[in-house]
Amino acid sequence: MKKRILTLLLSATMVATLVAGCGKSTSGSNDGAKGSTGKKELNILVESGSPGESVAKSTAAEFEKQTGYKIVIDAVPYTGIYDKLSTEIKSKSSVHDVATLDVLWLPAFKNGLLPLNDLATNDIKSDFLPTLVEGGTLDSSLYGFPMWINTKVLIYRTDLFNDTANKSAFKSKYGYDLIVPTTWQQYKDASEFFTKDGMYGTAVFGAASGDTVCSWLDHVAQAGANPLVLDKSNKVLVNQAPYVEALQYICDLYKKGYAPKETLSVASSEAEEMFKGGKLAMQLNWSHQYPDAYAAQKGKVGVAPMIGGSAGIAATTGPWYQSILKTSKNQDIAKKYLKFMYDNNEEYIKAPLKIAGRISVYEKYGTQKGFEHINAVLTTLDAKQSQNRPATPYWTEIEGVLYGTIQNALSGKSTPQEALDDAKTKIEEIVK
Amino acid sequence: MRIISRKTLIMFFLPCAIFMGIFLVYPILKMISDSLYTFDITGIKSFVGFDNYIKAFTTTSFLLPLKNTAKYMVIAVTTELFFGLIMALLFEHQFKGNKIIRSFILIPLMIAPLVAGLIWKLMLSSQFGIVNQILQNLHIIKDTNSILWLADEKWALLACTFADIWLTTPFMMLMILAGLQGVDTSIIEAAKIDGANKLQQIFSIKIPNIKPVLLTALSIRIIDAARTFDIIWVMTQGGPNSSSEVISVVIYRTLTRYNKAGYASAMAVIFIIILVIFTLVFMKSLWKPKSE
Repeated sequence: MKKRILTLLLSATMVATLVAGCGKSTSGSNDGAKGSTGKKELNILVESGSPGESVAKSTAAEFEKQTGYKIVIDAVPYTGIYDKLSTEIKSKSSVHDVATLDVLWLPAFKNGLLPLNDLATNDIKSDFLPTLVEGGTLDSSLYGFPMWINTKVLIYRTDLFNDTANKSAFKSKYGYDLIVPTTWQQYKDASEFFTKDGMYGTAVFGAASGDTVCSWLDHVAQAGANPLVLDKSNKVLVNQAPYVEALQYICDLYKKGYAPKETLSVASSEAEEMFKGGKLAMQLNWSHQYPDAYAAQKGKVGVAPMIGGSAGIAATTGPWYQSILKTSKNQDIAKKYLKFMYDNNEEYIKAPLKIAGRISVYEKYGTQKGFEHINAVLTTLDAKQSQNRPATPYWTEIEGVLYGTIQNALSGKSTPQEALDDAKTKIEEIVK
Repeated sequence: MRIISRKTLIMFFLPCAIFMGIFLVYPILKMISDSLYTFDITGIKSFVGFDNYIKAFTTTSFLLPLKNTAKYMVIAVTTELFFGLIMALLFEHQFKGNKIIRSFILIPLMIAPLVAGLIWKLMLSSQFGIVNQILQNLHIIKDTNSILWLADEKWALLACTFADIWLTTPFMMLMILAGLQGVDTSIIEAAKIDGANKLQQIFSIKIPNIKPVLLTALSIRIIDAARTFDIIWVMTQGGPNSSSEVISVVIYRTLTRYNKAGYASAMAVIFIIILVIFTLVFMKSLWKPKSE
């Protein structure tokens, strides 16, 4: 009898330990279950190391003071946000109340997000920077409140452009003054000119990543494409003239040696490192890279709007939004949080990346030293051809096809036309 | 009379069985079941039979990564075994500073694969990397752009194995060293008296005696190398032109990026079957403890 009792007790202890181990801890700062236990908490999913995390942390105390709700921040890497939300939305049970989202993910998560039309009054929307309303709206419903928007801009070495020897040498070679490029031709000429003495004129993004596609699409938009990649009826547009011209343009920059040979492993951060290390004279990169480049090159860095092609200046935009999960049990307070963060949008521009999502914030900071990139972004965003990437849930898969296509053309395996014809067939297979 | 009753045994076994059932058996069964369906973007599934398997075997998006995985596995594990064995034979002998050097060599084992990948990515950069700079200084290459480790299809996969080899050779060394230290010294003494030279002692006495340890280490490393992910993801993301794409990268991308749970499950099932067969055949053909 004694042995049986002992056995039962032992087994019960083991099972209890197992169950306790499998269960969710109710302590710790990232515990999403606390909200459901009745405590006044709001769970926020943010990208670790991003302004989203730092601003969420710096404003949490104020929000708690105003509402009594404690902000619980779950900071995960970029791809971790997608993975976590994907699981939560598929399982129809959310740990998080509010999530920060890249515009590219909105179509995939649309069914799991709360429409915010009632919260976004015309007054509020009129202060969103250009393309933010379009980017956050799917089927007439707004699914996110903007945190910030970013575009690529031209970041260049002012010391090289202001050098008198360079100016006269450039004029004698190309027949016009050395100016900060505004067109494809000027950019190509300047890239050729500065490719000397161990330095490259520019960088071309060619790594197996979304950056490569986004960068090529900047040029596609400059060449006149609108919309990008897919039209409203999901017709695939990628082998049309602007797409081929843009691909030919970046292939020329690379094959003529104006960009580093290791282009097939270069994306935004690699280009920035090269620029900071004095290996590049110019780069077309995300605007948030400017402050860092400026500091690294001890102020010898300038910033200008994106260059223009035959259709003028254009860039694909990179907005981030805060959205509420449909399955959140704290929807009302989550809405208050979104409005609170909108009111405090200025905090994002004070964060290291120095970008934000409201026109009023950009206007306030645009004239201040250290924020020169803001005006370049505003000019680029205001351009007619600047636009979002297509709002399709298949985007990540399409992107995979497209960076493969760009790599094929850059490595000379196919001509731009052949590579894009092949891409069209593959994308049609994905969206059919 | 039994010391412990059958019921007691079951009670002891039950918690682990429940755990294994929930976290191992159920996910595998679910994966096999999912591999027979396709899932649309809203999660609604439709039965497609073996279509996902047929697709896997007829498209390069699966076959090329499979080939790359095999290449990666062979290069990484063979090199690790070679250097691990040499180092273990070296550290078997007591010399001044042995313990300190051995501790230093173990440092990579304490580094996360992701961090190792980042370190090697920087070292292999043709603009700033130390590797090409050293090769240039030694006049092995003309300039630092001569070998584009991460941007050239010829080199990308090999470059990724460098990080793996650096990271796990110490593990191989540790395992082999443990085996060597367990070899009966009297056998070596006898071999010496019989006139066996150093090489004969290694190949005829030491290696046959540490075969079980060697095979265990090899099995662990083969499985580990086959499912490698973080090093490749951080160094090349599978590029350029899919030249360094391995199976785990494709499965991850298909499942989490493309939301194709059915196809990803089918690829994972095939991969598990291949790995299990390979390991069984490998172990069976090389290790027959009973017959020995």
